Amino acid sequence: MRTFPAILLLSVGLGACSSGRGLSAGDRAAFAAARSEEARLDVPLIVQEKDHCGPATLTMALRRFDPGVPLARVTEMSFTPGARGSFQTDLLAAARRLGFAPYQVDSLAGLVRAVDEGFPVLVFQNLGLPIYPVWHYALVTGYERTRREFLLHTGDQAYAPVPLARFAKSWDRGDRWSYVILPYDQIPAGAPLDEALANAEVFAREGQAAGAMALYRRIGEHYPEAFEGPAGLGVLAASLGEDRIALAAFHEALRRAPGHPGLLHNLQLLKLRVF
Amino acid sequence: MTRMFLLALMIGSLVSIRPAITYAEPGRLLSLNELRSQPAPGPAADARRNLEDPRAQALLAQLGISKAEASARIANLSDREVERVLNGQTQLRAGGDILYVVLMVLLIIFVAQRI
Repeated sequence: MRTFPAILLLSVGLGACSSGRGLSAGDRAAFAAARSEEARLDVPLIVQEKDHCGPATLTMALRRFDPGVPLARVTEMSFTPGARGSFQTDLLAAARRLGFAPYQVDSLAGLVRAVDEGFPVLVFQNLGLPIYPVWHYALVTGYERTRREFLLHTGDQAYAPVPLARFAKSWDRGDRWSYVILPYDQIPAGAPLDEALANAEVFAREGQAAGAMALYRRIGEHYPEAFEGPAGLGVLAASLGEDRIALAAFHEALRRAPGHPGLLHNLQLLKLRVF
Repeated sequence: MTRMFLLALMIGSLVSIRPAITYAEPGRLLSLNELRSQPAPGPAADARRNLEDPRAQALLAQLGISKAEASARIANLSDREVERVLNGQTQLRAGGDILYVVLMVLLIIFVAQRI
């Protein structure tokens, strides 16, 4: 007699697990269009301590580009003892404080594309039930196209294979929150201009002028039609007394946005200051 | 969860509404936001100032975060990210430990066996 209630209760639990939007036809097509049959990014695993999936996952993502990033420093910047975990916003802020720029990945196609570009993706999942959430961070470090699996660094496992459908459900329940975290001089394909500018603005505001200058330059290259990259470089360089750099940047911005009154205003003022 | 909600509410309730565009006085270079005709930066700076509120500081103490650390965390968010928290598009959820999944399954089995 005990067996039936037990099965019933477990079924309720598993049924709850299977809720969530899951995979769309577009998701399946995006995964099938992955560039390679198999991808495995070279990312050393950091086995997480209890409750520390956030700092461990972020550190792994950063060490893809800088092997010297200290886990202890990332933990100080992103772990909240009273919450026994890491808030999503704190991970983004920690990345910037350490000189890296986060870019949102807003689709499964974007996840696959990021891995194809060589970028591991920080993802937020609910591994529990919708009524009893278990929030967890993991790092997408690869995929196997034919087997329809993502490979994750998660918990104490490296390249753990997770079936696409199961991954999508846990990811949906985390609102598909996911980011690539990149050095100043890299911008992922398809990143919106506003997001790159927002990163540069935070760097400039928070005393990382060299990083902000490098990112504005990269924005200028990545979005060759947009005046904002060179204009941002011009404004920042002028504020640092780098007037020659600022002049060249405003000229470039005006080439891209001829007759822009604000740029003309800045250029005239700067010329008065320099000459 | 309740503490997180209160924290978001506290920050949100104290954030002021900014004018859309501020115009430069003569002789001053225009900022990039002004060149783009974008609103002046606001929410992140305002949220940081709100940390001076004693209620916010009491909450931070409960969470085990110093005011300086909280200030640095907020300062390194973009205005859009702060706004997304304030309007509920990004919920304050802390990723913790995978171990809880195992505990939950064990709990279900345990309860089932007691029925």
